[in-house]
Amino acid sequence: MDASQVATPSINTEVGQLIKNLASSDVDIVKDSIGELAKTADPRLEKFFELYRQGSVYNWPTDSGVVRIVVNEETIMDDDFNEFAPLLDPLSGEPYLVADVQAKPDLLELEDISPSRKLRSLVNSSKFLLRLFSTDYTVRLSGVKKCGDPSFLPAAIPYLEEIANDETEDEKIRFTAKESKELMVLSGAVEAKKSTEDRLFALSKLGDLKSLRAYARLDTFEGELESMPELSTQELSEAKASISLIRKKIQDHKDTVELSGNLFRGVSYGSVLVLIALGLAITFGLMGVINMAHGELMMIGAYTTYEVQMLFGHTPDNPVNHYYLAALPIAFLVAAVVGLIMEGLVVRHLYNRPLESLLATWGVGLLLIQVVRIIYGDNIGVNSPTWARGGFEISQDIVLPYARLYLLGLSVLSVGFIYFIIRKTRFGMLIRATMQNRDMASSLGVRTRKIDRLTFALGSGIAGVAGYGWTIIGGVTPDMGQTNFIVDSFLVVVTGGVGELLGVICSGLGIGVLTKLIEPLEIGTFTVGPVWGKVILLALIVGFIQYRPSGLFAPKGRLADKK
Amino acid sequence: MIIHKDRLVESRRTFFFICLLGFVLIPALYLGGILSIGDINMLGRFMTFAILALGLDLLWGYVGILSLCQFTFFCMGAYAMGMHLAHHGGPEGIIDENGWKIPACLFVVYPYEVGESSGDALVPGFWKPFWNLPVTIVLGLVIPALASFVLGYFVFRSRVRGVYFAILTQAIAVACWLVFCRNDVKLCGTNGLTRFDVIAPSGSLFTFNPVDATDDWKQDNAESPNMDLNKDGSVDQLDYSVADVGFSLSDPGVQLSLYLITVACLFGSYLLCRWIVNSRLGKVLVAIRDDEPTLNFFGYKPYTFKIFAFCIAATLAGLAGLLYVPQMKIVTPSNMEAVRSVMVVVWVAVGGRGSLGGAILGALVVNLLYNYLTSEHDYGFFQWSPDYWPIFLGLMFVVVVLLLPKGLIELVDRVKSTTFVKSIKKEETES
Repeated sequence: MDASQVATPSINTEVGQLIKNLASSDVDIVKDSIGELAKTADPRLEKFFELYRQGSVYNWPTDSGVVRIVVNEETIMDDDFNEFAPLLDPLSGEPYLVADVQAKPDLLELEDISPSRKLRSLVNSSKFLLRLFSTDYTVRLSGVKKCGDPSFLPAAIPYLEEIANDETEDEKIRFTAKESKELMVLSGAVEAKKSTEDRLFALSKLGDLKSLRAYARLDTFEGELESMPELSTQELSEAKASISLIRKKIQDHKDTVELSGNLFRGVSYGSVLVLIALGLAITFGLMGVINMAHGELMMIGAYTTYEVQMLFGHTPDNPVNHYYLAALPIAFLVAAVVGLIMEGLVVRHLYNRPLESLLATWGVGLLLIQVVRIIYGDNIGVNSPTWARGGFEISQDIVLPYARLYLLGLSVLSVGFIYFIIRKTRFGMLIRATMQNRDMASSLGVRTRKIDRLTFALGSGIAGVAGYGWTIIGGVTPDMGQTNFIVDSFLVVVTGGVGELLGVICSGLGIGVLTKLIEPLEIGTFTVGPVWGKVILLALIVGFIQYRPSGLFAPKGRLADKK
Repeated sequence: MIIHKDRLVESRRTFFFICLLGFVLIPALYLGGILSIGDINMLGRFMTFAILALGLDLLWGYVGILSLCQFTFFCMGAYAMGMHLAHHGGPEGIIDENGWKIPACLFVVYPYEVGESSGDALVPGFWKPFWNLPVTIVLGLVIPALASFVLGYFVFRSRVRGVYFAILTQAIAVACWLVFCRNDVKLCGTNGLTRFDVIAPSGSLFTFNPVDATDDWKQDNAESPNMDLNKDGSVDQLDYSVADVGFSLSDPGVQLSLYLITVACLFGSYLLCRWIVNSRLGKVLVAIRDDEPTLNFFGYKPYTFKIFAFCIAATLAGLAGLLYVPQMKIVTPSNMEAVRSVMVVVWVAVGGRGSLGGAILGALVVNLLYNYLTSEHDYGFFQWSPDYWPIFLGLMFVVVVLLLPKGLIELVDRVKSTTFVKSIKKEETES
């Protein structure tokens, strides 16, 4: 059903009549009118219902007592403290004109007709009924869904059936419509199908749909059945048996959804770890420099993204989505330049002195954090591009958020990029030569200083990309690197084996998935949660390096003792 | 053997430095009215940091192991003392059904299970040993020692070295910090332990639980209006503020004594480290730092020595924590943040890695600087804001590592040691 179809003039006049009934002092008339209004499905009513619920709708009776429904949201006060209310038309939202000027009567002339507490929930649900006919997909979906949630909207049933049978409608909406309809029957909210058999039948349908929303209702329904005196013991036990059968069915589905959700979250977290650890694998793994300011380079990437966003003027209301693509190379370059400066001033004096490089770069990190904090304050908002909202539903109830998918893709791309550079380009060959045998490379004419500089800049740039990617899912603060990632990502590098890209990928994904699988575990009444999950993971890593002191993929032979 | 003489010089100098400055000069300045008791208290706290730095210097300067979780061990000692002081602190708090008082700081953030009410709160079992002061002191030293032993055993045996060890210890520091921040471990969460009142009340020295303590006290105070005796002799409500007569932590005399005890402990720690470093054991430790594979080849087991040094460092950290809390009167998990443990490394690096006197010097200098630079100053041409401190600190990291690899003690050496060495040489030639 299309919104434009229902907004015909004949209905309009009807709407105008119905609205006037709201001023009635008889609660039943008001109630009926709200119901009738909802059935008209006039899209303009959604705004009106919201205003009505808030209490912004008034009656401004004429001198002869004729009802005029008006909207007033803000009042104006003059110098004598008289409050005047500029009026708006209830449906169009335009100024309410009397003799071609906006009417601004004294506030005292307006009669408050805001709904009582009881009616307010009705108004609210009517709002959702209207949504069933919205042209916007998400609005329509939320409307369809809302019908099946308490307090139920039995009035919506015919529309829901229509939607469920509409071949042209979206699959997800049709499914939700069926689900909502059966949920209403299950709860006993539908007058025509109040018998226990009908409700049980609805339940079995929900079981076939594998409805997760029904799962939460099972206990209430079972309790309700038990308290029904008219059921015989046999009937009750039969009903219970079928309930437990359906519970099992939905439970299985729920477990699958949760497991796959956790797995995806794990892979996603792992991909973040890999992205961060990738830069470290270069600076730490290849060059042997402990760059404790790595997290701060990430932070710089994130702040660069913020700056680019400001430059493009991207806001949630006025999206300029391509800023996000433009920010990628810029974040890389800015972080790389900062890395280059760092290398020139500090790090180059500290090759082969890893512990000292740890301290000095930590100092650089502190400095960067504080400088950024002085410039930007404690918290800034990076608005992710609008396409990153929502997710891709690969199977019923398993939703992969676009933001996480993007991050996963970014991570794969970065790994590919680094692999390509290190393994397939001349620059990469020179890097490998320099890191394996500096003196030999130097004597063969490789300018090792230049290679050092560029390698460090490459690692730093990748850190910037990691920070850029992070903005799509997480908050940006000056100390984001220190608090969230630096320890974790070093653990990834250590576990994976130093200097091995494959090791970083395996341990990053492994740690990510393991974390997300451990966290939701429940032992008795104790849920593991993020903190204990971290402790357990750490214990596992300490245990792991008992057997593989140099990580998953240890360098072999003469290289093994070098680092 | 000129190295040996240098060491002798440094040893003597530090010896005199601690005695003169710590025991004589600073108390004299206080008695002369130049330093306030607040300054004494602050210096006392910084001296505990010096003990912490000594431990790390032994570990990092001599054995070459960089531990980034020293403040975690410090907090183990600190929390031991904190629990002890909380047991005897403040009149607030309620009595649980076993007659133990739930300290106010714990009561405020007690993690009730679903369905529990405030009357169901119990003092956790692991709090109970800390009622007794001697037990607290022993536990405050033994717990970090044990923790470091277990960690060291697993880590050093599998030959985790250098930066790997540093990163691992940092991860452990972060994990411990997260755990201590939680309310459900019943260590008062992020609020930390606080509301300390008295130290060493009679009940804490000779008894192991408040019930015994009250028995003694009941006989002395049978007619006290503060006590509500039941017919069977049990007690409903105890007024601990009357029951526990100890030394008030806000009393200047007590604070000065705590300061002196801290200096004495620092002196003792210094002697211990000096003794270890000068003994044959110390030479093995230095050998580990300089060439571990060769030492291994000679038939030594480096990991046993490493574990030993790690345990000593952790125990010293525990001692520092024990001494710190009565002077600071609060202990929170923020002390365990990763950056705090890195700070210890900076103290040692600033003072002079591989020089015990340097570690003490570094801890005092950096902390005094911190104290000075985290308040506002107007130099006329320049307004110093506390916001600049992290920048200053960061620059200090870099400058020390790049320009002063041997630390401040090197500067002192250049000025002083020449005269000392000359005098020793003179003595030798004369004899």
